[in-house]
Amino acid sequence: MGINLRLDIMVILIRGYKIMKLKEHLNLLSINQLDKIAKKLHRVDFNDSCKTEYIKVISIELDKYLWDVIDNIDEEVLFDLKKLCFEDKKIRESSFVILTDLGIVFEGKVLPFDLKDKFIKQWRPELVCIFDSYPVDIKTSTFLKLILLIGYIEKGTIKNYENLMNCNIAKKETLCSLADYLESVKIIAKGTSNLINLNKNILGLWRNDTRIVLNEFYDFYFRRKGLKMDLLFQALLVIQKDDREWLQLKKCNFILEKFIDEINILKSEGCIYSIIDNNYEYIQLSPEAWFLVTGYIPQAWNIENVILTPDFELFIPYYFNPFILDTVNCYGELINRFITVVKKTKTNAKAINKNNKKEFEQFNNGYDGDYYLIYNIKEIKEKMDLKNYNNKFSDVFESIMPDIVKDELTNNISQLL
Amino acid sequence: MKKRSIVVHNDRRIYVVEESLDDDYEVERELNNFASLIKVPEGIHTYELDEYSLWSSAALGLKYEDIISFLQDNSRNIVSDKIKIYIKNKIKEFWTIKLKYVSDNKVILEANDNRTIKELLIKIRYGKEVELAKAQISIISINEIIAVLEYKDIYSLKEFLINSSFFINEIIESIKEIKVKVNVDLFDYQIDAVNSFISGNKGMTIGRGVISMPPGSGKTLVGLKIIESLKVKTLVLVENKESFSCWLDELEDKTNLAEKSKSLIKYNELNSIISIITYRAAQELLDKIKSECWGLIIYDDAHKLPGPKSKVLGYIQSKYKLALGSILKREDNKHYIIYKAVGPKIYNLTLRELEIRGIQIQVICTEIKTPRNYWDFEERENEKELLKEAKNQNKIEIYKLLEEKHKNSKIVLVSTYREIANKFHDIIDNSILIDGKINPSNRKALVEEYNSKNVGKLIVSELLEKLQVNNIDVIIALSYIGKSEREEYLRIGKLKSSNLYKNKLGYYYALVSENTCEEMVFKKRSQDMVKHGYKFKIRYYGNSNKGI
Repeated sequence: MGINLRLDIMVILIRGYKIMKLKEHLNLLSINQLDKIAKKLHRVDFNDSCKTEYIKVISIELDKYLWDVIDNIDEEVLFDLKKLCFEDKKIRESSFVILTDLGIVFEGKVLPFDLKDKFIKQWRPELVCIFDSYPVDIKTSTFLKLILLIGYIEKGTIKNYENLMNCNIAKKETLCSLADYLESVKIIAKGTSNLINLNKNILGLWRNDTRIVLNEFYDFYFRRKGLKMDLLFQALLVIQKDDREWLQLKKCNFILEKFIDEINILKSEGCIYSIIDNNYEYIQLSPEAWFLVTGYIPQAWNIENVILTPDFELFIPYYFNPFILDTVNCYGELINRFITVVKKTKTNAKAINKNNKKEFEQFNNGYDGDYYLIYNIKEIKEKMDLKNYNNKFSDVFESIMPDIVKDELTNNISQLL
Repeated sequence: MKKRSIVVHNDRRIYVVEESLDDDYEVERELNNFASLIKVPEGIHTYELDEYSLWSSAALGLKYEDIISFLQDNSRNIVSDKIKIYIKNKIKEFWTIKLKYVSDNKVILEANDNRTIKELLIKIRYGKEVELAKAQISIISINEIIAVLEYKDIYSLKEFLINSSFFINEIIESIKEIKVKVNVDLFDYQIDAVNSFISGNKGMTIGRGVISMPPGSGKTLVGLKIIESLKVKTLVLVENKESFSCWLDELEDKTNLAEKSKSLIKYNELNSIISIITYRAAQELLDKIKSECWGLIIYDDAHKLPGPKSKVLGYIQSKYKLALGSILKREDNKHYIIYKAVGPKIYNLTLRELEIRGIQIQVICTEIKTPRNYWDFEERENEKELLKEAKNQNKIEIYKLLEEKHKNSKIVLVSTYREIANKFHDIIDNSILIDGKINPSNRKALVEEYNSKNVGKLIVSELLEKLQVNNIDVIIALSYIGKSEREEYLRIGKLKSSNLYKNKLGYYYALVSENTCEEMVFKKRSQDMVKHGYKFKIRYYGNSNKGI
């Protein structure tokens, strides 16, 4: 099964066939059950009333005094009610009984959707917030690492499997997975003497199918690691409704506590971002993961977040659309990352001479840590594939392209024509 | 909530996102105290945390904790431990050694603390400098050691100290006193720069250090004011003859030396007041220069100092040393030699700060590319290619469009070539022409005539920087002498500083013949200018629609 779930479709699926309001739920109860609820709600002032009267009174009571009722239930029950509200049905039986007696929860641990909407409206703002400005611990996503790896293979920097397995883009285990994925979709194949054979036609087709490709990759990657992320993504999406929202981890414990291991894995994979503010940890789906699970383009991928200077340098933030980065990667030269393809042994480390000191420092750092991927696009003309260039690079960056750059690149195109 | 405007990368580069900067550029000002400016193109400004700028910040009294806290408060990413450790270590390694020349073969090395002396002894004894290791050393006090060295080794001692992260302070007595008086008022920022140099920081860096200011902001004047204050025999090292002329002009126009300047100060010749020598000539005259007793050495265009042949000039003895420049970063990363040989960065100012302070106005620079359409096809012997390409009839058409656009403005047209200036003078009604042929008194009268008008057109060739033209709204460049960034700075700089009404915008148009050597030359100029923060738009003049 794929990971991607459109937000609206997913909500309908989760709600299932029991999308009923409080009154509809009450209507399915017997007079005795309704009487019990009315008494629990301290409405004991009517006898021999009909079912309609009970439903009316209970509905009014839960409409007008819902928060008084909630205030009077104990912490554990409230915790379980929140779990139910945010789609986790694994609650204590005792809580279920109390909530059923109050006419809040019904057969099958179902919440009437009008009540549920009220609860979510009330509780969600306490769980999430938006920060204008925050410092992040930067992790390059595994998919972005795949994109960078493809670029190095395409440019011939990585020529054989030995280079691939010993490069500094990721840990060896991840590199194995990336290579296996590329083989599984037939973008690369092992040639003679361990050489990498790149199938450019398949790569071209692969590039055209952005979201499918992303879904397919993470499906492969998580399966390979034995991870089931669907439930976590579903749980996160019940709370995070906007790609800019951050979830306060402690407050969301009632739904996320069982996913803590998965959250930590996704943090290290760059799929979940984490920040600390006033000693509280906040998390959110990375823009890439947001796109993966909802299909919606995150605001972080707005082209305004990329900076193209008149000095021919392109600054792409670490969280940006990996497919756009793929376009740049084909032509531009990445200047703040250095690929090293040596084995990480003492002998080889010593072999790196003084001139490569900077590269060696990067070698130790791997590919995490830097906010921007910086490309020098001045020499782009040398490597330019005119058709691709015209169709992609120019279109994507035109709105942020300074005149000096536009003029230079246009001249280069006209010289090629 | 405040915007985080910087990004700190693990390779020690710091990027400032221009869009997120606060209005008064406080973040960038603070950053300048401990990081080296690499470039400031529109959109993102690049700085580098290097040992020399951190060492400079230590000299200014900045603490490690303050720097880390500033970076973390303003950074979009969490500053890595690697960066924090680097800063901490470099700030610690701020060592100053005073050199007292006792006799021809004796020098006293005095340190500001006991730890520095220990460090120095370890480096001398166990370092790679075999000759130095043989030097006879006597410890005379807890803070002083005497190293007895052959005189020829003084340079290698200095090189050793510089390479070992020691800042040198030289004690030199009996320097000839000179009297130079600057007779113009300085801007506040220029006074700040002079004071930073003269007073130093808590006495730690008096009279030695680097002043970095953008082109056209009056570095030469700052240098002259420092000469006036110190009253010592001075050597000024400059890049080329053009820079020599610039110093000489300033001495003539703005000091008490006035007309005497030209007879006293000759190109690449030593004299007893202020000698102005190019870096290249100074290498040839090195023995002669070394034998003189200098009070002050000014390294103008200081990025030239670390060149393989000129770095030896950094070791010349002098009581005071000043480096002047705009961006000191070198491609070969040897800019550290400037700091080590001269002193820490003591004053830094950016172009944007000048605009914010209202010292210069913001200028919109536009290059207008125009198809070739010559008014003169006559081939003349030895006529420069750039002059040929400048004779473009379409430039006249563009001028007319610009004149219409800036109807009620004061416009100055500049041309390197007199022929072009004359052509425009002929076609523009009521325009004033000032070229090299006009004598100085007439020139002054013409400038006054132009200054007295609210609207007018002035055409000048070559001389613009020397004319006291005020309130220019628009400058239109008609031709170019070559790839000279300097000519471009002077033209735009004139516009930036001639009209200081608040919120006023200036317009600079460069008319360039398309697909010619003129276009190539201008491309180099504009691409250099953008690194300093100038913004260039490009517009095209079309033959078909006759518009821009």
